[in-house]
Amino acid sequence: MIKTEDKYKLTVSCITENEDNIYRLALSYVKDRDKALDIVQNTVLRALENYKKLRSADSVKSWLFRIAVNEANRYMTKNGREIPQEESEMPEEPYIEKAYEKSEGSVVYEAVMLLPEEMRTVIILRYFEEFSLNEIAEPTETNLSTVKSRLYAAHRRLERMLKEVEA
Amino acid sequence: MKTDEMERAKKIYEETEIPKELHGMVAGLIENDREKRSGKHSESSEHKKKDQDVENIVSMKKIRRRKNYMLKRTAAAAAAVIVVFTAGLNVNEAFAETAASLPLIGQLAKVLTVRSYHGGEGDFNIDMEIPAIESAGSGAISDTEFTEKINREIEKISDDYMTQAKAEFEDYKEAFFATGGTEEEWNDRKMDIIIDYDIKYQSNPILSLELKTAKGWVAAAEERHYYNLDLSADRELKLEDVLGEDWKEICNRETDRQIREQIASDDSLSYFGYGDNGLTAEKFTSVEEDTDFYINADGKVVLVFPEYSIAPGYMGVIEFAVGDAKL
Repeated sequence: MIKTEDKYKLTVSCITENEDNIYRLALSYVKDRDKALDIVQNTVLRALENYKKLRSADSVKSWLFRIAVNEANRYMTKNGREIPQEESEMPEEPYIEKAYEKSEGSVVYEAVMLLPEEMRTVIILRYFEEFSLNEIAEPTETNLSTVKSRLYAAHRRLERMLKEVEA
Repeated sequence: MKTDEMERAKKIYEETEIPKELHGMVAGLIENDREKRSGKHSESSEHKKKDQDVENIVSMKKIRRRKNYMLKRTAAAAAAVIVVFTAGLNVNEAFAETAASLPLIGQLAKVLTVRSYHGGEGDFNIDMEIPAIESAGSGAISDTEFTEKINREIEKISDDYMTQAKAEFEDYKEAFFATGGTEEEWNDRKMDIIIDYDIKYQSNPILSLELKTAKGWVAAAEERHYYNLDLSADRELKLEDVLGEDWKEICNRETDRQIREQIASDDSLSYFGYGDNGLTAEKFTSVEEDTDFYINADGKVVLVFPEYSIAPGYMGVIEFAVGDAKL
């Protein structure tokens, strides 16, 4: 059992250490700088309000990302899930191809960003943020087997998307 | 899929451009939360509620003390460059002229700049105009105890602000380099510190004065202080004095109405607890005796809510004109 004062300190230091990471995750949902900043702001406010609910020092990062994922989802629910106007006007196929043609770009990255939210978040947390499968279960409010199956499904989807681009 | 492809995707993900204001925004939210908690503490401790938060506060005070210590050096340096005008009207002809052109509050008092400094100083760009209120007796200047007290308060707020802003920036700079930041990335960034005032309303014997402090670096933050004075009675006006006994109801009704009107007409505006914006911080419920206000040039009472108090930080300081001041 950790002391209340330590919970507060842990929360604050976890926020400052991960502010960039939370911003990137938020951006993967809303694809808009200002909206992503809003999500970060809400995440920070909510974490500071609820720091007493923190259970152990180990889980602080998972807990913070869980709040961030929740806030991102809430934002998407409130504002509808369509992609911003400018992007939706663009044809989907060239979007991937354009990135692929640039040698410094990464077609995998582009494909990840086009995955459905649930799959994308699992991929981001697993490969970009290097969470363990267990650590992903908390932010995504699921259990280990769901995480595994989503990750597997995400892989298959990615393979398929990449094949289409090459074809 | 090859691992190195995923590695490359990760690298691109990590290179996502981070907005400059992110760090300042997060730091501001944390600072604000800490202040809120330390405020709560001072009340509850009187009732001897031994909460675990108490220890939390104590450790925070320690941090603050360390800051203050660090600050002493910079404060001394600042004191050396700040031009100090003593408030003697006949000391210097040019100064006397400036003072003469300053607004007179009837025959009772005038507001003038007692300290002024504009310019760069190490890591800081400073714009400072510190006001003082002078009571004018017949002929000679005679300061009353009342205005003296307010002048001392203004001076203290200004000095403390300067000191704290500098400490904050030095801490930030220290942390920046300690965490591997380079001189090139630092790119000679400076902090702007602004202390200024504005006479919002003046008509014998009422004076409404605003003192504004602001700092700008990765994010801008602004604080304001208000002095609404009845110089004939040597007292500070309360909301009740200018709005009557229904002051609370008037303020709350108008604030609520204007918030609703604003969010209905412009969806980029948001307030805590209004609409479905997902903001969970405490909603505006009621003004209190210490809610800031001033009287504007039209004689209207304007409520002022600090940054982060009833709306997210991007909304800045928020003002609502609620009704005519009964003067």
